[in-house]
Amino acid sequence: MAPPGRDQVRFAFQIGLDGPKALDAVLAASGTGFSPDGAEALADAVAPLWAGSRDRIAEVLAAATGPTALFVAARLAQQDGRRDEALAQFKALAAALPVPDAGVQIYMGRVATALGKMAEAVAAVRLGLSLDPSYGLHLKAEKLVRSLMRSPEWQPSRHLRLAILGTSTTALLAGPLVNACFRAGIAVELYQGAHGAWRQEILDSSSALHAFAPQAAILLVNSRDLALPPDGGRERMAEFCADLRHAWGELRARHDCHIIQVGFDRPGEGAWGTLEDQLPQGRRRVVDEANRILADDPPPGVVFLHPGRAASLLGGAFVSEREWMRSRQYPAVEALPLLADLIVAQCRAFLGLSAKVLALDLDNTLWGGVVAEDGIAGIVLGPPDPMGEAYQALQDHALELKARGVILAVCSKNNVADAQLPFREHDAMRLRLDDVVVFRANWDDKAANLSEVARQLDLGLDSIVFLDDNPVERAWVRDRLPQVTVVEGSSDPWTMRAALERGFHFETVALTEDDRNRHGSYRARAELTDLRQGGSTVEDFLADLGMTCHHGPVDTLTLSRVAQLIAKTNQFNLTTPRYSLGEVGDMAASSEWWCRWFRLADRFGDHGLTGLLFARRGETAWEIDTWLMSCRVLGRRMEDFMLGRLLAAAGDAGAVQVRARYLPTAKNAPVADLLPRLGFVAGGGEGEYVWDTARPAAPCPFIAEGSADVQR
Amino acid sequence: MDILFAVTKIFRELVGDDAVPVAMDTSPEDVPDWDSIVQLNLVLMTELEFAIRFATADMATIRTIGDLVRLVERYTGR
Repeated sequence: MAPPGRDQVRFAFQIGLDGPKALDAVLAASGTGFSPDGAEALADAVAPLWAGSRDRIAEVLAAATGPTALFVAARLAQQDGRRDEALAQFKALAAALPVPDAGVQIYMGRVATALGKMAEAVAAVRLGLSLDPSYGLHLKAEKLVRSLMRSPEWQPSRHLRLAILGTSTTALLAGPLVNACFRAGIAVELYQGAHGAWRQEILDSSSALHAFAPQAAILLVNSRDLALPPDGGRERMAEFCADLRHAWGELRARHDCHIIQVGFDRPGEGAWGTLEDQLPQGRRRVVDEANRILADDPPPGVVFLHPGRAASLLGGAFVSEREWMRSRQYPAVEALPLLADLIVAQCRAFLGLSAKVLALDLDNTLWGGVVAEDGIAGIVLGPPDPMGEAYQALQDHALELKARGVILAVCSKNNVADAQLPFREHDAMRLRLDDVVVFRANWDDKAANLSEVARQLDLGLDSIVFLDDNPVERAWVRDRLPQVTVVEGSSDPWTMRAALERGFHFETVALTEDDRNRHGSYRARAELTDLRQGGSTVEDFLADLGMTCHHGPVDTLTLSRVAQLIAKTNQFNLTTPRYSLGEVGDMAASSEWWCRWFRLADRFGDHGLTGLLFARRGETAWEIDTWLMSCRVLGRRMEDFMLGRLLAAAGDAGAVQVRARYLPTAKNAPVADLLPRLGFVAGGGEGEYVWDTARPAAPCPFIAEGSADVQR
Repeated sequence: MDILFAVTKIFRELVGDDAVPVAMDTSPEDVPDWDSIVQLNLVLMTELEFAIRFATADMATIRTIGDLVRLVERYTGR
């Protein structure tokens, strides 16, 4: 039986039972279940009685077991200011729940903040916000999130000045947006334009918007702006879309900012019924066309976000005409958290914060049952079993992600032979062994295994998304490795897939050739790591790879990939500058700069544009400003090759010296000793190095010279 | 449940202050943080809490906490 909800709890306190008796009755009916609304209503009903009947209430709570009693006790402790006790009780409650609860997490964050336990508060609130909380819970979290963002313990990965420009009231979107940014590790500063004034603000060079100098702007429009009749209005629509596209150009020209254009919502029922879809000038058809115009080949830096994505994921209505009429609220308040998550997923993509790896459990995640016990014939996978089809659909989803450039890993408690058997022999398996780049099946704990996955791929833990049906494993990984994104939700294959999709973890701004090639590159990397552990010499392996490196100056064709690499490379990055697309374009066009891309190919395939080396040309000395490599080609000695080309170019230009320095960050320790290791000599100031161009670079026998003409 | 108690709880959450004094005659003049966004959210959250929906004309009459409490009484028939 489901635990009593809000209305039942209120009823129990209205029917004449005295308070403690009503509490007792509700707790008995709740048992081991937990209804967040019901528990909240119960705590609210007990709170005013607490002072008068302390002993009796305490007695009832002490006699009860189950999460509801823990919740009430925690709220009462919080009310009294007994914060340590409240925190302990919220934690006990969280441990007792099979799936974390957003409301409980937010209360926990609040108490932990009051106790000054900021790291704990950050973890609790981030988890709470990942559980798809309602708008009401977002509001509860917002003030807390803003204060956590100011605390020195919170270390954001990126900063972002974000402007919201819209034709509706956007004030209520701010809370969920700030919360979603916090969850993503983005320290956000928001600018909200006056509603409906986007044209003036963009065109007027003295506007507050321009003073704010946004790094990203959301343009939120809706189909009411077009004021379409049932049949007609295409001209007005085309004009409006042209205005929007013009606004993108103005904004990009002034601020070089990213633009997230939210498309038009589809109008609901109208007087002309199906004709609004069918007639060439029908209302819904014209709106569809508007979205096509906006989505069609947007210029670099602009992404189109279709509101239909939010509408189809949302349980309720995406637009509330009532809210629109009364406060120009668009979309419906309950749709705001989802819209905010979609927007921030785009921000993560252009900031280089999207996840790169999907780590999958096996038993009861990719198939039903336990292969080591049930045997290959006993596991549930594929039709006609509906569960079997659902597991298969989950595998299909993983394969689609792989095709898009997401790296697949396996992390399972199993013997390797058992774990790999279905991949080799089960007809209904969609995933095969060579789809998986790192396969970890053993009896070590999963946090250790995920750390190993990250190590083998040379990626940060924050690029991993972990999917596992077992709530105990999920809690373990969340606790040990807070950087890993753990997909929460229930444990059946349908909801697991829905929760995975709902996280928008793997958004990318564009699909590049490199995304498609990524799987091959990382397989080669993983093989290299295995070889190192296996005792074969790295030299043999490198010689055997048959590598060729093409390189050329950064130009308009390579610009967007170059900007993407600059945004997301963390480890092999000597100075970690975060140049924008526009800045890179200016540098590449300037005669004061030598900006070169490098592209590596080997027998595993073409790894695409994976290295950048920028230097500032001086008369006598060149200075390395940017030197980075994608982690998928680390360990290939490509750095030797790159340095050789730079030294040759500098020498040819008459420079006698190349200067370089290392700027440490939290993540670039792998290149801390790069400069001395390559043969640079300490000189100049602290952390600075030089190379006299008279001295040739070390030979690089493993990599053959390619040409710049190769299609980039 | 006491309507004033529920409204007070919502209001305090919105202004981010557990201790701000709230009474029937509390108005935006008494609480500096009570801006138009708090007002909008206060009405929204009260509607959700009591599963009611105010008519637009009624919303315009809310000037104090007491106005909101009386409106809830009317809509819930308590």
